[in-house]
Amino acid sequence: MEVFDLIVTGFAGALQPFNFMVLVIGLLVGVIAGALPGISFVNAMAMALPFTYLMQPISAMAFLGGIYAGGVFGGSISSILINIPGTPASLPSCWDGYPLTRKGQSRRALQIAIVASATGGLFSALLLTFAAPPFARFALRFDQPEFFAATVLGLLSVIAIAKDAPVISMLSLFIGMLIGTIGVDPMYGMPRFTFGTDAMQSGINFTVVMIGLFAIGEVVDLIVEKPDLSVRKGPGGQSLSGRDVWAIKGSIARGTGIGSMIGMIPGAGATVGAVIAYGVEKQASGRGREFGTGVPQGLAAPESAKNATTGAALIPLLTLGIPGSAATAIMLAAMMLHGVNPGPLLFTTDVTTVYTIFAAMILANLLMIVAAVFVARGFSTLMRTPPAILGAFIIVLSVIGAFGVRNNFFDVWVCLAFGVLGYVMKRTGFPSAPMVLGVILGPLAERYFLTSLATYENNYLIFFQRPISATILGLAGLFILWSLWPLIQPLLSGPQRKSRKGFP
Amino acid sequence: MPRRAKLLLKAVPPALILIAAFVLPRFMLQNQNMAAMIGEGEAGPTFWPNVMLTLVAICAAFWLVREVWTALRAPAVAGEAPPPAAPYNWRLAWAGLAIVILYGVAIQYLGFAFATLLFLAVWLILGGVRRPLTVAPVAVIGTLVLLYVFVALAQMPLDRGRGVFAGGTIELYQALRIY
Repeated sequence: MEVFDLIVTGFAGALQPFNFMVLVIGLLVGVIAGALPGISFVNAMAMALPFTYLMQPISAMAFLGGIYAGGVFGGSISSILINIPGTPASLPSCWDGYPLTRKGQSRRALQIAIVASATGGLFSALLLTFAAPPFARFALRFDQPEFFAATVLGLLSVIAIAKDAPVISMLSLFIGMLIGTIGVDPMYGMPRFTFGTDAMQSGINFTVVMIGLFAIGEVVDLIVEKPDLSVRKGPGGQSLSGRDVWAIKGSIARGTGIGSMIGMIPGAGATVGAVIAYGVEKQASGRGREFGTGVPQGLAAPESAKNATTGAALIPLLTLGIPGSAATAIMLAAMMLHGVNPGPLLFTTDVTTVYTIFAAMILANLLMIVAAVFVARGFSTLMRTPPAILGAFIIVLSVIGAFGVRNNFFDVWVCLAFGVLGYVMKRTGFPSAPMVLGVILGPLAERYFLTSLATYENNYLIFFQRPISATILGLAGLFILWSLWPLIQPLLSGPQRKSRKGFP
Repeated sequence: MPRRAKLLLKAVPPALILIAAFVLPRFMLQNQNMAAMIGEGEAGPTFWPNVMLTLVAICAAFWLVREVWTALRAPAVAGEAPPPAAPYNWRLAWAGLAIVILYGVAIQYLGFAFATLLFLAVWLILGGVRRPLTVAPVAVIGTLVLLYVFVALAQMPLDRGRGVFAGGTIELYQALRIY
């Protein structure tokens, strides 16, 4: 009863006109910033931070929470419509979202993404409201080896993504991880693979690689193939029906569960959650071989997972004061600026603020449906534009996005170089998605690996000696076996199967 | 070119990656003495890249062996050729990539505003939009909107170019009241 009263008080606070208004503005800002490649929602949150100085703590958190929830979804708009992930976590949305657009089903794809994202986000906001303390105690048992194990699990899910070429996909992943080692190393401060140039010391930014690999090759194909990306009339172009939603309910549930669990682990974040959810869904949906051709389940699972990380990521932030990502670190900064100190004491000293933040997150995910529909409709209108005009502006926005990451022209050159490479990879069938995943997660894996060794006296076995980390690595092993089972099974029962198929 | 030789050509990319995996360790650290400063038993800055290079080499070797094996086992004469796919205009594609690279060069010399105006016009013509009444408004209005959004609103320090173009960009910004 007491919790119910606190929730009512929280909603009363979140629904106050000013708080509600800043929440809606935050959502719109987040969705738009997330949808523009290179202008990430984390940048938008950082830019919005000074505006919160003049607000009450609850308004500030509603504003930043709105940008966070909206931004995590927004990245999928450009993934689905133009095959350029707006945020790293939206990478898996390209794999089945963009093929739907190429079939003239962009509206349906966006609706699947909105429904799945809102469901995942809402569930994790409810999890945050009702189960934050016990989950926080669980999250507290995670240390560097567990963060490393979770990142390895995300990296290994590339095997599940690999269709029939696991070796080439692994090669692409390791090349990406090697690219991620360029620049000053995270532990000793020594420059690696810089070839004597100063610009290389700050490393190769993953956003720049992502924009280059995905955008430029795609745009060149747009002027050569001139595909019709506009929403088609007829069965394929129709809106999402209740039956369609029912068909993807399992994918949404699995994605939400995975996202909620991964989101609670500080440092793992939305990208790891979305990639693992895609890999699991490929095995669990029963349509694995069709993945990559525009399967709704392949879009719904990562979408629900990445938004399910938003509320879950606030659990360690609010209960322990541990920010698990750049976005939650900005929220922590905003709380500290307003004299709100997150941690176990917050739940006794300022419980009204805590429950107002919970209510704001629930409202943000409900309102996200309206905001996302509004923004997505605007973006999908762009699909009527002739491919040459659309492509020209994508290139210009890609160049601005690459430059805007660090206001450095070196990043533009890196983006253009990866653009040419991406085009060659696309035409030769060499997979680019594992490479991007390697550039994103490789540096994280290295950092957690080295800090684990530094913390546990260079004990290389520590990853298998700690129960949670060993369990996650064991799960990773099982996941590989599960993913490769269709390839292994014929080898194990080879001669019998062959004879059954008519071989002598 | 004989079919087997064509198939062997597919082994070139994994072979090049394999060679790179063996050559790159020489260029890992600028000063090789740096690694000697790391204490005994510590992983050091070269540990992770070396692991990655080894994994790259293993995967590339697998790929190379598979390509060579496929080429050697293939019959010398090709069977019935598959029906020709729809023609792909490679010349247009490479021209498009060249223009994108030239756009990057042009930004540094002409400045973002003029380079973008020129790029938009050239790209539209390359993409088959030839009507001047479409090309000119799209290029001009598009550039102006981008300048307002990213220079005026987002305050991004986009390149202004060199020499006369730097002056021209500033005059343009002043005329647009964004400087």
